[in-house]
Amino acid sequence: MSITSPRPDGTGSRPGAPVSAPGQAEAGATPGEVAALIQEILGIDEMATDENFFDVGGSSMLALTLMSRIEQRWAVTLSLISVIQNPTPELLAGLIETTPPSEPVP
Amino acid sequence: MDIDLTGHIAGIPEEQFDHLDPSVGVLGCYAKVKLREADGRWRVTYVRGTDAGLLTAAVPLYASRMRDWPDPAYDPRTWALPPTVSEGCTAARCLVVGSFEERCSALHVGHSAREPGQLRRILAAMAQEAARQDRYLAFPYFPAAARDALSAAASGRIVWAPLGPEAIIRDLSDPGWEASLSKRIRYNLRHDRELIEAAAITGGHCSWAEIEDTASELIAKHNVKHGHVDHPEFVRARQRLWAGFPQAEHFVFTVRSPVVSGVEIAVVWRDELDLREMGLAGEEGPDRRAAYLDLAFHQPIRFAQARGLRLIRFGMEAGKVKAGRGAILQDLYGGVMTAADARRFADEHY
Repeated sequence: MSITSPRPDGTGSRPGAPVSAPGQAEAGATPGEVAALIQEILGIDEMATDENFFDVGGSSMLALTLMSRIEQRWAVTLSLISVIQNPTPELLAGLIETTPPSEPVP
Repeated sequence: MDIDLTGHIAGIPEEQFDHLDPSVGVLGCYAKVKLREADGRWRVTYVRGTDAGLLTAAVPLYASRMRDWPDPAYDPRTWALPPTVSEGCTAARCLVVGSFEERCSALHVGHSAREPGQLRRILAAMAQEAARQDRYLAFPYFPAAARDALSAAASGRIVWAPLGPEAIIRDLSDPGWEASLSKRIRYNLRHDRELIEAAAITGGHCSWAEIEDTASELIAKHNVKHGHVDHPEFVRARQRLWAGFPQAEHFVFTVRSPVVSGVEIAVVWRDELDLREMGLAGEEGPDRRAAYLDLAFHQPIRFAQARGLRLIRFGMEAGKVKAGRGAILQDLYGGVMTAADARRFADEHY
């Protein structure tokens, strides 16, 4: 499958959209939303939902940024190894769906 | 010998793979190589050789998806190679032969196929794949025997540089091991034990899960202090991989004193103990030195002897200190075949 993620169109997932405030995490994640988040982190215009994060300019260090942004937005703590082993927006969205939410920091 | 390419190790028989290079430790064994396939930062192709249905070679070639080398120690531009050879070796332009991690490689080619004529055919298939992808072939951290076999097959088209020694203790299961060492080394070992006792060091070992947070921080800080790129989450990623490898026993040696704390990752596989990652915190001084010596040598040696393990692999750091405690230093080499030479070699021999 090679679907291009949503272009900036006024939706909450567009590049540059503010992330959720603490305690207001969004429920679920679509592959398009994850692709848009990666586009924003890497400063790229397009990313297909089956493209590999590391093919489009990602690195191990930038994967840490991606993990942090996913946690901010969807309240899910992923490990680096899970990102490395699930490096496409489709796989990451599935991981976000199936990973239990992080414990809120008191 | 028939030669083909495959993208998955699943079709290669495990037992035959693990017999290709008897010098391979846990980091080059089938199960570990299979785990590397799940790493989304790399694509892998195996050059497979078979003769009358038996596996004679299965050489992994790793192509980075990333633009930068994740570990600069693998960047051939940091090796002592002529710039004309290494200057084009970006991560995106290299096919890495053997392994991309842990500064330890293997040549997964059986004894009979290491004869220059046979190995030349395998190397030609590797060069053909490099030419197809317009990449250099990089041979990181190969021991002298593998370097010599490859050089004899490559007609001078691989240029090598020394990368430093790896330390190994063999024959530990021999009860007379220590008595067989030189007087100087036995003195060092006795003196170490006195230092350790004087510093009131408490040692032990535990599972990775028990100490993950502390150990990740200690190891990452230790590595950064020694000039390596690291982060606690990188350490976690490296260690969590072992959870997918039940054939190996993965645990942590620990040391603690009133002023020092430290950890060392240990992996037992077959009759070998592999030690690659250490973290040690505390001010420089006799106590820290004692903790280092206990963690790096004395605990692992006692453990290996108690378990009847034959060999300890210590990695590449602090070779002189390790040689002073009975380790043998084995030089490792990095080699490059340029993209242009790979094309020529493939044209001539493939």
